[in-house]
Amino acid sequence: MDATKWTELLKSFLEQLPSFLTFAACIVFVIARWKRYPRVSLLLLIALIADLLHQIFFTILYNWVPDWLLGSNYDSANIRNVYTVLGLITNTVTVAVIVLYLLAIFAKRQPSESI
Amino acid sequence: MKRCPTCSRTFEDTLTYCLIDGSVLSAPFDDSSDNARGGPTEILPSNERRENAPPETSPASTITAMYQPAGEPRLEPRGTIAAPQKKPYVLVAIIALAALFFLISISVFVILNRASYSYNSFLFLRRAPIFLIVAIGIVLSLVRMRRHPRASLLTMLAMVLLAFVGIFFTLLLQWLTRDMSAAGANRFYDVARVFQDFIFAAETVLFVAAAYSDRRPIGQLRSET
Repeated sequence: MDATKWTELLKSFLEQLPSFLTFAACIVFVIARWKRYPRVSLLLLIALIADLLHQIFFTILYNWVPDWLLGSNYDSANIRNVYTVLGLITNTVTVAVIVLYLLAIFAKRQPSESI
Repeated sequence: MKRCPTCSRTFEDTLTYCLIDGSVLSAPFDDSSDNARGGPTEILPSNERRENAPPETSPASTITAMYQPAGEPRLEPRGTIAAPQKKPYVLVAIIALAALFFLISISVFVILNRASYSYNSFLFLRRAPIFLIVAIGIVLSLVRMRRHPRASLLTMLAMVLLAFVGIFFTLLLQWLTRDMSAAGANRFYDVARVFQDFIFAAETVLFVAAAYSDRRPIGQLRSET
């Protein structure tokens, strides 16, 4: 990757700084709650780490893969297809992460826990 | 009159069970022979009983059998609590996986055939899994709203935010930048991406808050059981 690519990657990461900070804060919060809610905290920790890795991985992928796949063949249909497939993969992984969050929210709740 | 063999209180002949401890009352007897215990038991007329009775001291006759002495775990009447449901999760997961597989198959088919669809339809296709999980999440929240109101409400809010981002970045962003120059549109997209990230951060906080709300600590649950 050339210098422009690195700059773009850095810019993409900077744009995601609010969510990275939120992930860090949430992970600390979840660890602090571990003793009181072990099962929920475990599921949440897995979801948060998966979400964080997902963001980092797909930011790099979006910076690198389109150029690698398209090369010099910048046809509009090719670009559209590459981004559609990448988008579908990214969003499918996002769905898996959200399923983890939903599991953490609703699974293993006692009926008497509603207040 | 009838007498409770456990607490020795007297009741009307019409009652079968003790209002205090739920025991079966003894056979009817004449209350005039009970004066040795300090006078006859006062029986209030049925329409005045509720007004004059001290609040919450005697349970209603319909729950006489459910009375529990203090200190023992409280039982709820049958039918008020649903048994823990596990099957709906499996069903939802199967439907979601099937729908995802269907969507991905269609998208691959469309791409391979190079069908001349509009750019917007491709944008929607990319976000189709997100819209699907938003729909599932909202349905799940509505189903669980009665049992876990706060958690369901927070989850629904997160799902609505997710749907808003999906729609905003699919249609509204294109519409807003339609008259802009390329450089102006790029700057606008940069700002929009930061805005999107703030929404993602808010969603994460909502999910974490939803996971912990309406829950009791594990120690408290153990002491109750």
